[in-house]
Amino acid sequence: MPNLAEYQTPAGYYDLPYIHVYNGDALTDLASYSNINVGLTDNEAGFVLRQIMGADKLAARVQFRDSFAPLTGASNGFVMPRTYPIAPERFVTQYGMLGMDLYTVLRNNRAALPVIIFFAQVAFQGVRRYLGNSKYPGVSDYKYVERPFTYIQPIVVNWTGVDTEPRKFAIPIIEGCDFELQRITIVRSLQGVVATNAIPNCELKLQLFDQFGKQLSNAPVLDVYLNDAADATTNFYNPVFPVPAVLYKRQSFLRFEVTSLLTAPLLPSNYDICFHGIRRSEV
Amino acid sequence: MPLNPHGTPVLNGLTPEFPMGFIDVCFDYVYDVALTASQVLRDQSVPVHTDSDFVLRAILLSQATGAFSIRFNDSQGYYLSSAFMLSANLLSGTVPFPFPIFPELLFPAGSRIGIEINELTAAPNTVQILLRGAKRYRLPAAKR
Repeated sequence: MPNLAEYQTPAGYYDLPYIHVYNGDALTDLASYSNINVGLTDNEAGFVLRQIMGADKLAARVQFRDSFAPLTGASNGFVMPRTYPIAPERFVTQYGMLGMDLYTVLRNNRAALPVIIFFAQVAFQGVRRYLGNSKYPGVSDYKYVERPFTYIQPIVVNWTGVDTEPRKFAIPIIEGCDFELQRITIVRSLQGVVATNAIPNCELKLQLFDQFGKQLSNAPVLDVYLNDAADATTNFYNPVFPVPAVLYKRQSFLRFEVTSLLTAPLLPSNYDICFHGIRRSEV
Repeated sequence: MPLNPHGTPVLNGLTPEFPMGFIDVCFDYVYDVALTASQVLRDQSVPVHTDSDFVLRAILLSQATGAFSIRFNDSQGYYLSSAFMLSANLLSGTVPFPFPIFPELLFPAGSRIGIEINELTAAPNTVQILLRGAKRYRLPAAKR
């Protein structure tokens, strides 16, 4: 039976919460592809795979396999649920690979012809396992009490997805308190001239960084894979990120980048990006 | 790393705990069937690979074009329900949700997962069910 006791990273390693995305924007609709290497690992770190999200944005049926064996016994793929937990977790070594078969590709997109913005993305969530001190990123170096806190960053997206250059933002970690980031919610407050209070559905991609500037994903991640305020029926991927939580020490910056997936008729759109977590107040 | 109470236990990491001499590897068997209108199928089976035992931990309805009822059994003839279970039991609202099997059920290598299924919509019905769990591999005995 899986054990619910606190998980311990193996001695001599530390884990960094990570989402590895595979973008299938350049694939051909209705085609099938075999043994795509999703490039899960890099030269420094293995990847502990714990959840896959969003194959429905890319293909009708899928199959996954690591260097050892396939993840299912399906002979021609399976219809993946929006969120697909992997338990026990699969560890893909830094020299290993995760392969993917796609059956009948159909790329999700948003069109305002002649412009088509694709967001055919699959997200592999887990942790990257690096050699190093398992206490990373370290405890706070002062006595503290924990209090809930949310950093809210309003942003205005006034560029379309044709411009793929991400816009950079940095929130200073203030008031002399370390901050433990536990989850992210995103709400659209305005579209054009109409005030809204809506959950964005594939309108942005976000790239997050930790306090040292290390990427928490290999590429910008679709909002629906990060937004814990997701609509229960239409956008439900059960996303919580980062897991485990990420610590930002006082006087550091919570940095992130925003990529637009909007078409011109949807501009400008305003969003509140909320970073929820725990503030460690010194006592 | 600090645990994240908002994340699922799977995302936070489950401490691996297997019987002595074995290791579990996440694996799903898939049951695919295209039912004709009002079709009744008995003695369906999903064969368990011969390389390892399988522990069944959840059932997930990944595709269905209509309602059906279903009953599972193991290779010893042990039925998991007293009657046929309606497919809506495998949903949360309209969203497929894992139906937990607790405690986990062990299927020996080379055995079968038995299935009986009834089509209920009087129309063709394409169904795919994921039998979620883990392959339980025997580790090589340690040299003395």
